Amino acid sequence: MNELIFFINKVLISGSIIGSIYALGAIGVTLVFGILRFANFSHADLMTSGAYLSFVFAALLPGLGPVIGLPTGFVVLPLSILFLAAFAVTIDVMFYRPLRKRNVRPVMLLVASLGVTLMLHGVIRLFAGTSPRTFFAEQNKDVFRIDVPFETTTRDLIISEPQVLLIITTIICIVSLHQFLTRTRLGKAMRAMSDNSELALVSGINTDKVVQATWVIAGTLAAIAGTLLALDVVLKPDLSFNLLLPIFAAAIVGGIGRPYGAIAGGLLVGFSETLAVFNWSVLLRPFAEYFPEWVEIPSRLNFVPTEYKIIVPFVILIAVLIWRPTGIFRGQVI
Amino acid sequence: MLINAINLVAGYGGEPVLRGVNFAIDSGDIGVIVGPNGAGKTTALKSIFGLIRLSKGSVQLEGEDITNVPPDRRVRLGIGYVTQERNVFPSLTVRENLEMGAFIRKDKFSPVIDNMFELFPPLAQKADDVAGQLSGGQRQMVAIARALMVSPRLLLLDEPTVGLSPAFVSEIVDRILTIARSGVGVLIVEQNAKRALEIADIGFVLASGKNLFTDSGKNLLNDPEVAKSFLGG
Repeated sequence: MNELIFFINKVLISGSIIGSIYALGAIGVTLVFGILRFANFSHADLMTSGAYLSFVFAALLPGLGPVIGLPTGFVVLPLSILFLAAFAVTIDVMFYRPLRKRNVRPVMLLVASLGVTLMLHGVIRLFAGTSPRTFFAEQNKDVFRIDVPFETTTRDLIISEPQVLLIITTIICIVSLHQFLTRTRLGKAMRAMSDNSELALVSGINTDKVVQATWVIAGTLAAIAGTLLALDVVLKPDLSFNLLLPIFAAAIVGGIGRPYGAIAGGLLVGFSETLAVFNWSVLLRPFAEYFPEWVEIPSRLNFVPTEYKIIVPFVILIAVLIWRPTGIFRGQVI
Repeated sequence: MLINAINLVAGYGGEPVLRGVNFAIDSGDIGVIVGPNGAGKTTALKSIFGLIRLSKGSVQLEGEDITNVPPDRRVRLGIGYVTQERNVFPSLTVRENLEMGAFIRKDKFSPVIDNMFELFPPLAQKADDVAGQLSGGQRQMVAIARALMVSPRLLLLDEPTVGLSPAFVSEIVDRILTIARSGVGVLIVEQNAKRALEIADIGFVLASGKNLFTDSGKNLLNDPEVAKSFLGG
């Protein structure tokens, strides 16, 4: 039983956590692609910016968390969302909109987004420096150890408070996004514009407003994903830049432009990563007596060494691009 | 005149496609634009809707000059436009497609949707199906109904029956007659000149970006010269 709990901790819990982060990031990327038709490489640094915003607000309002009984960084999240959504809209007005007005090809917008990402990179390092920071300098990070009521188990299920918050918040985000896209006029207009932007214009849909709503949602999701990731690990300038490629893999695997695909893609990539780096000999060891004598179970048996786990999303990505280039949910072809 | 397009000159850069054409139709009239491939039929429709900038000429809607009004504002002024291809939102349901047609309406538009289901009964059963899964004819109905959601004064249709089975063609034609009878001016671009002229109050025969003949549909059908050049004898 201990082995099974080890598996749940290392694969199921870790997979849902990293999968949630990928899903939140991939939804942002895929929505922007669906509406504006370009791969927004600055999304990961938008996430990092959101985390730093939360850090600043948490430093300004340190007493807030203990009063409510949650991490301060989480409690100030609404403020960061507000600022980051406004920031994302401002970036669009300053950089992307002038390019759109000139009817440039999407690849130009992609290059512009690389410029934006480098800028955010620089600004964050300029103000915050490069050293890692923690949200839990003055507050304890609660870790829940759940005792499994079996006589033979000595291990506990382990999950930290930020991780619980992350999973709950991700579910709330997905449900509200679904409600927004299927119930509200603006949400339906977003789907319509993603389907066919010319027809949206011809129908009299206010496409500028749809674009703005897209950035507000992208900013909101980035603030949530960035902050919750920083609460789970540590806050550093390259917090989510390293996640850019798995996030894109998740968006493409799910079908680019398809928000539900991005969720599926995020979880798929997340779980594949944790399954690939899991040490399977832990699960095999209890069954050693059933193997023939000449079989020796190695001490480590994983598909991919942990330090190379970045190859997992790429393998999935390449497989999808070869066999199903539109992704699981049949999105746009890039 | 409901719509009066005067001396339109327009193109896509380079040689103009339209070289000074005129269209005018009244409310409740069906106008049909016919002509050989490359005559500028679709371009004419696009320039009336404002999708193409005119290098010369003007467009008036009930006497009001709308030459420089952008297309989304023309929708508000009461012009509905149905493109030839990609004219529905494939991942939205039929009902959502119609709602998007009514995006600019501030009033309660569910009665208008009910009217559309009355006008196109096959859509009523498919209301909650995604438009991408409909047949070509049903999709065309969604596209026309979507454009009608703003209760337009003028409806522009680009080849509404192309590629449809004969049963759907007569159904669509029938609906167009109903729409016109309700007082909407309809301007149609049609490849099948003969059938289109049969329902036309006024026909415009274009060739190389110019008006060649303009007359009632009946007269054009009986004109030996039109028959010889465009209707296959």
